[in-house]
Amino acid sequence: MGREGIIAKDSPGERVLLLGNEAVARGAIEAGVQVAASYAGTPASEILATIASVADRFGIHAEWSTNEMVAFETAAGAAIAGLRAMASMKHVGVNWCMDPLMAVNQSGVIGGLVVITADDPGAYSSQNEQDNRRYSKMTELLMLEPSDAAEAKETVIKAFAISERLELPVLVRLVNRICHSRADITLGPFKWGRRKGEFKRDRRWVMIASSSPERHRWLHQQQGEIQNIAEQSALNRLEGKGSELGVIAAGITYTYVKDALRCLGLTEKVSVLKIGTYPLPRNVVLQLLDRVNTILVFEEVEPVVEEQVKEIAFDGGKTCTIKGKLTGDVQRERDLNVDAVADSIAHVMRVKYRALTPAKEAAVEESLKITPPRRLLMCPGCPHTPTFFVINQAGRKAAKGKIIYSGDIGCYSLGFYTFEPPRQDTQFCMGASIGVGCGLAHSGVEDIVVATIGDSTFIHAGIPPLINAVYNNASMVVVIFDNETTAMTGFQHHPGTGVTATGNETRKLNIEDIVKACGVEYVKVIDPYNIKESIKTVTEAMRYPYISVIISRRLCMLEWLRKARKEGIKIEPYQVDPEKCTGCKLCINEFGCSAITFNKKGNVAVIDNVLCNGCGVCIQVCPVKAIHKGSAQVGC
Amino acid sequence: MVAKKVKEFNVLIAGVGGQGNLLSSEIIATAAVIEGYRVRVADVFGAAQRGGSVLSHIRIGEEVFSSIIRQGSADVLLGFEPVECLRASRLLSTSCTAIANMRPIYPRDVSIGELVYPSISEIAALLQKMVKKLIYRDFIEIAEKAGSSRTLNVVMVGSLAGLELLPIRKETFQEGVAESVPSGTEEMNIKAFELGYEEIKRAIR
Repeated sequence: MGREGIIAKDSPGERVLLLGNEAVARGAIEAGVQVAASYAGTPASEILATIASVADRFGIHAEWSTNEMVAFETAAGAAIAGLRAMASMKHVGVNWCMDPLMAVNQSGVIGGLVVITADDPGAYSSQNEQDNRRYSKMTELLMLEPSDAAEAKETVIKAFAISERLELPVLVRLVNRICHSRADITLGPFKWGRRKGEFKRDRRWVMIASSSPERHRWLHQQQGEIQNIAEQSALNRLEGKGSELGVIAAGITYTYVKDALRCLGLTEKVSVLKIGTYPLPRNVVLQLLDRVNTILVFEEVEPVVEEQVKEIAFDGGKTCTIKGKLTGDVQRERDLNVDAVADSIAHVMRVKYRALTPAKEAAVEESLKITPPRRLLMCPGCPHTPTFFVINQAGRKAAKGKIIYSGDIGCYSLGFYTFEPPRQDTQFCMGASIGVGCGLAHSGVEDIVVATIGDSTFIHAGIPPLINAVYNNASMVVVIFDNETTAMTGFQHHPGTGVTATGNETRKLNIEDIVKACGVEYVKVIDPYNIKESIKTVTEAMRYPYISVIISRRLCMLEWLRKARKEGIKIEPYQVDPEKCTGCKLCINEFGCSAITFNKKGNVAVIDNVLCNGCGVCIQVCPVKAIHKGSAQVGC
Repeated sequence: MVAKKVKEFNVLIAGVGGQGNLLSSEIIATAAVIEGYRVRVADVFGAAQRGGSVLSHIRIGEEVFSSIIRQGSADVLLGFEPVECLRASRLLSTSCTAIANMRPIYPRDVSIGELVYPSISEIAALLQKMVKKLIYRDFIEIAEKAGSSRTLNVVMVGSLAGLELLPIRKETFQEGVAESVPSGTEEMNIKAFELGYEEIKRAIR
């Protein structure tokens, strides 16, 4: 049975293995979600992908929106019309939503509206590790936080019910280790009733000038009920009777604390308060404060709970010591784990604890010393590799190599790791390549500003800054790395692919039409597999005195491989003739295809025939024509 | 039905993106769920689609909460690639049984001649120091016998079953394999499972 079959299984009580994100999707489906919208972003992507895979069976409208703000607005619109709706996104996506969210929190909704924020503590796949629990204060909305994948499904179901009761959006915070962990999960029944959208005209839907204070007061009146929900929520739980230490564990850290206490043998000596709501349950926190003199708070990223507990202690006249990130007893940055939590507890309780014996520690150190790292690479045959090569070569011709790569979010950001010097000089957020590029262009720097941005990212966030560049005459070269998919997050469709999240054909957005409509006069499409022609075009673009846009278009190699496999196309790897190769390393250092290796002894390049995907672009790159289609003749 | 008395059993899979580690962890975890266990799994990898280090943590048992294996507590290591076994060494318990494929996949910096890859004997000696039992082979050769080097992941699942350290029946693993592998490859993969299973049975006899 495929994943869809498991997700759609109507067998309440059955236990199945689900990914955290699948559990969230299943929870939404069980709760009767009718509109689900998202923009792809790790670690959130599988939530919408999962819903979309079964959307037709359940009568759900599931979409990849152009960006997170539009996803939220789409969900909000449906909720205003009385439907249950959900918007899911990675943590930084919520930054985009703040504009509408800070109005919808006051207008409220009719149907349940759930916003999922998938945070990335440790920033494994993101530009930052911001803590979106801060947004619960900012929006004055209830936020729920499950501790593991199994609890995540139930949390989403509860969130819908609470949202409808309060007529307010409810936020659910996940972290990467929940999104991407699997757990045995008990399936529940589906809520089958489908509602028909109905728009009831109401002044609260018009958040016009001076209407806010009245709605703001309404939001404040809801706070008492939000606090009651927090006090009674099963997501908050005081466990144990120990009085030596009170541990407060928010979200996923509860699982770390449970494992750590067992491994330290301290379960009996410690009381644990599991936290799963923001605001915190004041009365439950006070119960714990009454019991112990010292509190140790675990949470991922910011000291949100720690600060609130201090506030509660102050209001309640409690004098216990509160330790956590602010006191240096818990690591401040990065995601936590059982080892980090065990170390902190052992330190605070003055217990001796070593995870490894000194002998084992020494062997581990010795092992790690001889273990070579594996750096991030672009895939063999990736069209971004020749696009970077072309930009670099053109930069030499047009600007003596003086170019600034104003980068963006996507696979092409790997240009940072692949080359020396890196082919990614700045990276901030979606669309910033062009926006920051505008400022660099106006700053008077001598270098040519080259903004590098992917197709999906361009549609998400690149259009307003491009119009800005034209309007305010920022001279730069924008290169759109169009690989016809959202590759980095798992090959999601977007308006430029002409296919929807549910696999239906739709009108295909033409990127060059958009670029022209923004007012750009110099727009050229190149095929990055045609090196000579592409260098000529990009050189010309760099010499153009105004803004120019190059669309470098070639299907993502991994997508092409899938197609090739289906169509039975044979992949023929290329080889290097060791007699002809001079060992100049241009193919490695300048071109940088990850299938090309180097034989030090023979001082020649060698193509790894397992890795090579047969794009053949290296033939055009090699200055001595040493590369040819593979056969049995060569061996090093 | 087998006894459900496992408190905590940790299987760690260390490999490189593209080796099919994630499918192995899914098969093992699904088998554990079918047998009625509480299971937590974390697949930990960077942003790389292919070629990056991938660690799958599979935790089975009534007292398991976090999906991440803590230092020094992996009961079994399934090593898909030699240096990846070393990279994971901090997590291995001193009573760990390590099954390691000794066919290397060279990191980029090694293949372009910038860094050195340690010798297999050096890797084996270090692993031997850190675990209770080490079984290392060229498991790719075994996978090729099943029909394709790509079945390495299922060979390794078979080897875990062959250890019989986990109270999960062989048939349950086989069921998991048949359900999880791409359609059309079931026969080859069941053979791969069997070859891995037999190899380990022979090794521990």
